[in-house]
Amino acid sequence: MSAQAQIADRRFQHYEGKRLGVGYSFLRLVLYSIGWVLGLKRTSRYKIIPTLALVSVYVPAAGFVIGAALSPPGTPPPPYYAFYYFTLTAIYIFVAFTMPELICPDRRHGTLRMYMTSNLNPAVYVAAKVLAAWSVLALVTVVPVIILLVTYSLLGYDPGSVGDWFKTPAQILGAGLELAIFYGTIALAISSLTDRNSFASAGIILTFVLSGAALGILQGPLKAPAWVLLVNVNQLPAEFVARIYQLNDFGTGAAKVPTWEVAAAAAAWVLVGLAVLAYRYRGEGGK
Amino acid sequence: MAPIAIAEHVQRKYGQVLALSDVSFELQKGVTGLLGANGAGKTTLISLLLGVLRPDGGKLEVLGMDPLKAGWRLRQRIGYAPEDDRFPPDVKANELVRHFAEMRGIPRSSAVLRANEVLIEVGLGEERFRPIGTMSTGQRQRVKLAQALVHDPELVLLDEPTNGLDPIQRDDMLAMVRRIGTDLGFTVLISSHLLGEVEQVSDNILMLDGGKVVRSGSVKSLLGGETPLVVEVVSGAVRLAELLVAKGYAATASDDLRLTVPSSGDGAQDTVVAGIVELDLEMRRMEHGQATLSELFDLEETQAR
Repeated sequence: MSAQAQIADRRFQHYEGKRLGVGYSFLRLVLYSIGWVLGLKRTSRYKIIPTLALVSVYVPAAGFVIGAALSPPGTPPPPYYAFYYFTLTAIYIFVAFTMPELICPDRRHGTLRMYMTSNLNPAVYVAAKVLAAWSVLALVTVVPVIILLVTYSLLGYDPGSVGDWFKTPAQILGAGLELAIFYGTIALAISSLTDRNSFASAGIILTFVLSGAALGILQGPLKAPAWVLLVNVNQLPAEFVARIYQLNDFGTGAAKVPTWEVAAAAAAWVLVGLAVLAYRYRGEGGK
Repeated sequence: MAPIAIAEHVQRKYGQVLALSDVSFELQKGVTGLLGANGAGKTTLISLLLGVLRPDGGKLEVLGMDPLKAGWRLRQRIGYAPEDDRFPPDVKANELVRHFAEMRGIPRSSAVLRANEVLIEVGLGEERFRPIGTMSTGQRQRVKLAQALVHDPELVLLDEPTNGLDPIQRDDMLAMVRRIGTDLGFTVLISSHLLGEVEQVSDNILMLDGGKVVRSGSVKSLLGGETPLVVEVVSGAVRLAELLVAKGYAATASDDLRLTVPSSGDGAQDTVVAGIVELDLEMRRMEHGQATLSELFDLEETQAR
């Protein structure tokens, strides 16, 4: 036996290290939830939907980049907001199939109760899940457009002036985050009503589809005023994106509705979503 | 030694239903069995100790703190294993335990190490890298136990940890709970509706019935040093028990072959022998045995009748 050989004590040791507070656990839950939704460290079946959704958003972005690179000199590249024309359906699908995964399994598998007996309380838990939802959605609403911005900049298209160096990134961030915050909050609120992913996904899709169909009927045959857009969770956020990019409308025929009303309605919907979440998780845990 | 938890006249209602009524006790170090039938208020009491439920009356103190006011500062010093074991099936055991260590404030690098150590300690060596959905019920219960211990809590609350286990797994789990309370030095409150289980692992008993504490104290004090007389006959134990009851002894026959008489050195042995002669029975064995809590409670019920 070597003179350096030693017996390692593998017995259970009591922990005498640091214990961190709520902020740390909040951050760990946010990061864990993002990884969870994207299927990281999970079996392959949980990676399929996020991967397909990411591909369906990043492929159009790649198309924009290739188009801009190959277009003849002097031809302006597709505008940033046009990205959403191509990807909004994919974003809906991403929202419908990934957001329920953030909170439904916790109720279904009983882990919610274990969270409530840790450093977390209902408010911190909900805040962590909401931030995780917004962050995950920003991967499909903000990051691809940032990639476009970088590519256009490298190709010499944009930003065109000193003012654009501030305005363009602000528009990209504003529009992308608005979509992420709106869809993330609404989808989480709907998901909080059930512990089954499939029911939640169906509820989110139905909400978007029925909301869009109702607007179509109201504004078409029933000649409803333009402001009915404000109660349409399907098209309201896209309309807000159009206003951020200083367009008249997003093809919704709502140009007459003032921008401040569009912004206020979007904010009100987000607040309603947060209120539903707070209501659903009230009394789940202690302080 | 200061108690780990103190309850004074604690009350909790769900609507009009009184789940806990005037509950008072002191929880001491060691393993305490929280005993009661389904609906007796065990899970409610555990939730109150964790501070996730608000008592409607009375005073509760855990580790020197008010559970409602202390919030996470108390919860991160408590380990809790819930009754059900429906963990996410695709998550590996070591990942889940690490995650809950982080949720209780253990820094990431330490959490990884602690998760592995505690999973090995509860008997999940290489299995700790397996998804929980591929594990047996017994292994999932061990994962549940590991996540309750990973942050080295001062109080471990185990809600029905033997639920769904077969007899061999149940004995293994109880042995593990006992070891956690003795070798590893944790203070454990284990809830169960089975007296035999609680008795097997506990130093102390807290018994609930209909939301009220009906018995509490150390197992030793509840047994009171009783060494009952265990009598075995070829047949006729029931008739012998009836005869002894008629003579003022609280004898109980478990079947027609065996009866127990609370011994007090006051001539019980002679009376039993006289009874056997009187009834013309054939005696196989008579000796002083260690009373079990269930026998003691049976005797008390007999005496009460």
